[in-house]
Amino acid sequence: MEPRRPGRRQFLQGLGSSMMLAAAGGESLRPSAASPPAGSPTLRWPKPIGSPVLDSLRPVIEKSRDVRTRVDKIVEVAGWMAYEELPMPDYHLPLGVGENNPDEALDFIMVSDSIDTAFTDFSTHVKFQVDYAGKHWSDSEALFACMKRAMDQGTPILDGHYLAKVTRADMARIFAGNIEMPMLDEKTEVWRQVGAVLVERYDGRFHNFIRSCPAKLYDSGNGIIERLAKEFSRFNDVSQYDGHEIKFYKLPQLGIWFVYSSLHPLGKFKLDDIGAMTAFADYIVPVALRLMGIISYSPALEHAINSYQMIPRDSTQEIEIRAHCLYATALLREEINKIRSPEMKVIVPQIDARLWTHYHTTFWPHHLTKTIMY
Amino acid sequence: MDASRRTFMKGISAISIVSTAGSELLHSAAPAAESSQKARAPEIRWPKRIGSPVLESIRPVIENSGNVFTHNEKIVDVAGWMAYEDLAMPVYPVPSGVKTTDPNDVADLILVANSIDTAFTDFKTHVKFQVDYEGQHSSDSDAMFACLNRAMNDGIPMLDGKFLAKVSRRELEKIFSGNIEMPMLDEKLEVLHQVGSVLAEKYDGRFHNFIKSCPPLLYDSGNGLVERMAKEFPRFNDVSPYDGHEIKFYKLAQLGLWFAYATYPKNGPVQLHDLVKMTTFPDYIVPVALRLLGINSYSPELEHAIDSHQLIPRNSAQEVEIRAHSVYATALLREEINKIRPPDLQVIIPQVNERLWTHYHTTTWPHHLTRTIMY
Repeated sequence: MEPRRPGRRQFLQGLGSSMMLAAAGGESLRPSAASPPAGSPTLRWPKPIGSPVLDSLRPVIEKSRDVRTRVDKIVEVAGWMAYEELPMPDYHLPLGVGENNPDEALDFIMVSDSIDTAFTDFSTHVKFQVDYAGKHWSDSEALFACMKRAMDQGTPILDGHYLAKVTRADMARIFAGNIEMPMLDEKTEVWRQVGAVLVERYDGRFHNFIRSCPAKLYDSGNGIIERLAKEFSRFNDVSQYDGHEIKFYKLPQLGIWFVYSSLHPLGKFKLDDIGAMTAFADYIVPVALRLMGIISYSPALEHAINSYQMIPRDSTQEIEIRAHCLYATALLREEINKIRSPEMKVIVPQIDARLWTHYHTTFWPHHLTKTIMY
Repeated sequence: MDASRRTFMKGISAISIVSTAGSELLHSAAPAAESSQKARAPEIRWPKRIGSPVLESIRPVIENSGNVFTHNEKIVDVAGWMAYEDLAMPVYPVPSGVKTTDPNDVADLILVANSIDTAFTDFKTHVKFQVDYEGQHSSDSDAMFACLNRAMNDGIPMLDGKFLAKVSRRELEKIFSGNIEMPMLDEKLEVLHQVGSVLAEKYDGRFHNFIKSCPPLLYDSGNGLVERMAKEFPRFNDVSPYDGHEIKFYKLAQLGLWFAYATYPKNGPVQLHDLVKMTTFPDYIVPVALRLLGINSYSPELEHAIDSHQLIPRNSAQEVEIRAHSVYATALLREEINKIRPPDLQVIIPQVNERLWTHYHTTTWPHHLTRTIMY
């Protein structure tokens, strides 16, 4: 349940500002407009961007009990945010991992992404931290540091053959830090599962999985995100809401986004439909939207969050928080693009990055959910 | 304008400055009851005093503005989300490419550069000043820094007032050779002559000697660093008349000291014990941020003048109002933000300035255009 990847703070130091015309413009090739359903005639729906995640949210947005999105606030915020730079991030892996070795970079990102959750102990609220290479690291960055430390010691943590058989004791050793890594049992289970699939089909390596996919996030069930969710149950981040399956795919999208942001600028990774990425439904982006008045909560939910009560996984409250996060960022991106010139158009992850970087260290409380999905 | 902050920002880190921000509590909190007689603006909200002569001087402008307006309710609105951002105290790295590691030299470089840190875009062609040096392409302020580095690496004593006092136009042309002639080169030449001769005459040619001769205070009954910069170097006397009042802005004096301080916040050559008195640095960019956030608004005439890139004359009521409302609105914004943040996360105005500036200094939204050496 850790806000994802505090490491982005450091990654962002290498921020570049390449824009992505082609990707952002691609959506115009898709058919627009979906007829509004009966019952919510005034609901504004973002133009389709080719994302099954966005398309799946509609029943939640239409029936929400505890979370509301205010379109007028979105228009207002877009009125000033559109004039910010909103760069495409240019991530750098920490500690020299994957330098001149795109396959290793990809494997490292995806293996770490698979357990990039919950770095704060649920009872003591102490964050997982480690000292490595003369520096102090916490949260996600501590995860990366531990993985790099293990690689330095010759532990083949990027190889599914190793991951498939990793034991709790191995994990405790790899992730030795100030406290036991939170949710260590769940993380062990995830690596064993991910490792087994990689061994069985991809000679143990994520980059072989990626090579077996088309250069698309979504492709009638065969895109990278779709296959991550289908083949690795750990990435099947979906929830049930009023009998509908709602897709979020937070970690599969985030992992591939990091791969893209790290390797695409080097010409080592290509995606034809990067514009189909949504926001990454986590703990922090909802805080940003709530503070800006774009989403609001029922008094009951507001109180639950502010008093640090657990919001159960798959509860309507949890699903609504995440669904509105994706819905509102899609609309915000649309309003921002109405204002920006053609060569400055943005895609949703640029908005996500803008909101996330400003609030990931905030002292405003975020919702708490015990899950391996984000 | 100082685009160099872009480069500076790369090494940003986050220390907070509780003691500095808290020190204003020592000042009397209650504003003087002087506003009662002002018939025109009976309900004007005035920020609590922070001990800044700049902030205190702008009142006649805020009370009588006809072209620029500040909306207090928007300030409260924006503070409601901005307060929860990091708003870190910046620590600036030494400007890139600088070879010397002596903090006195670096402070001198920052202050010499600061004295000519204005106008890098040709007023007619709108081409930006750019230069390639040591494999790096840079523009605006960064390009000026590259030129200063180049000159110093060629053995030209750019930090020495004795040299600056007598530098010729031809020498300066060569020092700043780039894609175009440095905009306002004659004015920059004049500034360097003036700054150089004061330094040569009183401070053995070096800015850090001037700094050492002052108390570690921005303001000190006329003897503080900002006050003495404005008094001893006319180039830093950034004031404007408005309805018979003298309005103080001190943009470059404050900014130069801020950069020099924040490059070596601990034990550097520039120490500031009254940092909380620093206002925003009224330039071209902060007004854009405030205008876009809805905190400031303009009369239709001024809005049109800015949007159509007309020159707003130096010391015109419009120009003075734009700058005064930057100072006023950021002081109130900081106050609202601090109401929300816990005691250990209180901010000072330059942190708010930094937040606004970094987000909009590359914006496509037009800013006002004024021909001046003051910002």
